[in-house]
Amino acid sequence: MAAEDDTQTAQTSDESAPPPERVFGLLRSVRGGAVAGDHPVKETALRVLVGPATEDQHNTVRPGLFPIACWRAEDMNFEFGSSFPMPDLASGMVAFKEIFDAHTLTEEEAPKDSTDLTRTPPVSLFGHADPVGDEEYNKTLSGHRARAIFALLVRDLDAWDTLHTDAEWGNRSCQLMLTTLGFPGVRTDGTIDDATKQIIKRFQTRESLSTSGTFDAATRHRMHELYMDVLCADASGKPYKLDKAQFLGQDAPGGKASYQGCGEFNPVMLFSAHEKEVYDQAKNRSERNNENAPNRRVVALLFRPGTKIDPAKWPCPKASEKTDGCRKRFWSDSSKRLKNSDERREFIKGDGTFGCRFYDRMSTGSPCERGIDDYTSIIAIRIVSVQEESCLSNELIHIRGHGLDIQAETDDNGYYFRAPVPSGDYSIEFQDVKCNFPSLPFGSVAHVLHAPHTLLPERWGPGFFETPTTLSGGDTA
Amino acid sequence: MPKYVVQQGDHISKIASDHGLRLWETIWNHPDNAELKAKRVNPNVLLPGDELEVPEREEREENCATGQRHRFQAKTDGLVLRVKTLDFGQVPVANAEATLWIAGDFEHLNTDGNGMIEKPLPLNATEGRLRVVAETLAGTLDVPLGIGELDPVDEVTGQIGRLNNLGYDAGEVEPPADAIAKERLKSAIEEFQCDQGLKVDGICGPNTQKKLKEAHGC
Repeated sequence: MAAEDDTQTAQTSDESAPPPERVFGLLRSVRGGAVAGDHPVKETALRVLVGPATEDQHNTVRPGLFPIACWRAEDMNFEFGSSFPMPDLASGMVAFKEIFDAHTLTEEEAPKDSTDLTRTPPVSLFGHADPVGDEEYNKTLSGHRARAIFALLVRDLDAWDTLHTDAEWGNRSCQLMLTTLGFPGVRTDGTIDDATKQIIKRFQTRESLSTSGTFDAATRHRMHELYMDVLCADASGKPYKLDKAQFLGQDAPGGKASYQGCGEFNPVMLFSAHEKEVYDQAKNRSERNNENAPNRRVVALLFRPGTKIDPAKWPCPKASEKTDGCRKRFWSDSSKRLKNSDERREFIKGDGTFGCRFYDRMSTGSPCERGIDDYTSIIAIRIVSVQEESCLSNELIHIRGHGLDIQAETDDNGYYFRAPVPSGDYSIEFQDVKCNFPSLPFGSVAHVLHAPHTLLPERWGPGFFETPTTLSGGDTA
Repeated sequence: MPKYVVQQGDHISKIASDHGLRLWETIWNHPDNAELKAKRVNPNVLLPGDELEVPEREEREENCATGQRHRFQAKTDGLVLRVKTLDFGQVPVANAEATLWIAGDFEHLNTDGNGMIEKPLPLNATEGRLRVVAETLAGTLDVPLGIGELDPVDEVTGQIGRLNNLGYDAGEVEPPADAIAKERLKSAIEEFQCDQGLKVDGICGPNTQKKLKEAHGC
């Protein structure tokens, strides 16, 4: 009888246990509407279990293809319902450059016969749309956005010229470009009035173009060229560009494996059935579109330098192809995953909201698949031993919370600093001490942990203003 | 006759060697092990916990003339380790530079046209390391080997081990502990089924097991 009770208790506690938390890699930067970070290291690929052979058996080893880092541009970086990259994307492109450089090998690290083009992490871009509207339209739009970024990075002017016409970037995009290029006073509502015509003529004169006073093809072409250099520059403002060979698909036709549109198949958030019903009413559509913004994004996945794949075997269809190819890689239960259910479902909370299994696998643990609003805090800690009146330098610490699992070392002065992180409480373990501490808003005070038993807030470093906070904490000894 | 419980890292030749037997067949073909033999088929892929009857060493007398030299030849196992390396796109990494370490001893080898390397294996080897250098592997593949640690394909741990080896990242080699581990295994099974043209249902049933064994080579 007692044994039965035990079993029941065990089962009950198992069912009521909170769902396991996803573990995410660490973010390196949040800039404007973009984030960039590292994927967690795949621990299982590290050991191969083999059986010896007495007959003709063998074992097979194949490295898995998994990204090492990611970057994401938010919806706000694009014109609504369009693939035109907004001027604000400039700060996002700085974040791209930072993560790209962070994973580029030095000549010493790279194999002997490496080149500038093979030492960099191959990139593949994935555009995503929200689940509103037609799915073919959504795939096309998300594919256009991914292509726009690809073309920006490799300075493919023809692609932008084509997108401008085919994807109808329109007069407003031209007005925004003109403003960005140093011609203020242009209205940005798409209307071409006399004042705008005059400004266009000034631009055309400066660029030795025929002064038509309209955004004609030659004018658009030159504007694209100049705007790309403004948009795609490093932190110092120096324009940078990539070679097509630095993408995963190299220069495969149609950008296969280098950029693609996932359409509405990989949302990070799905409304509950009730929310959907309410939001679909005409009066609520603008609010619905705002709520859906996190789903509309372009993600770049970066692979280990030297990674080579055969684009012909790449599972994703080209950006210009229809959704049929996507479906081959769907989860067997994708319709359930993509359905609006009783509750709102979110990827970050452990819900399986991605319909495409292939993308789901590739983005496992990607810090770029969290909401940008999550990253509003820093962790700043100094560990000091009260008894010895000294800091714990080079001390191994283990910080956990909000999907982060950080094993790190304090520096020579006992400090550990990490930004950006999601807001909330974290736990820290070092020596035999385990305690909790809250994250801090950007630019606020740093906390100092006193080991082994006392935790006190203390001033730390320039630029931080002290707002005393009591830390909750204790020891496990 | 002592009963032996299989430990992680065991394979039949190692067990035979540890018990002073030269031939693994002495154990495997023993009538008391017929049931396990039928279940596992491959004597080198056993599950920890499997029980084997290990026959005692038998003494054998030979009549020989004194004052002469006699040569006795013992038959031993030809135990080998074969590993085939594939690139990201499932293409064999042919004629590539490879190094295989086993029990402190290493050998430079080249993969053959099928991406295979082969090396005789000491009977009690449990640890190794494989390094293959090829452009199609993004430089270098360098992995530790757990020799004899691969479980049978009808066990979930055997399925995870094979899926991991084949690049499907199925998770820790243990029965999945939580929903995320289950999902990870399911996605690996579905990707494998998809690549093999099998029905994609995320369940590693007999058909998928058969294909998995074929694709892995054991």
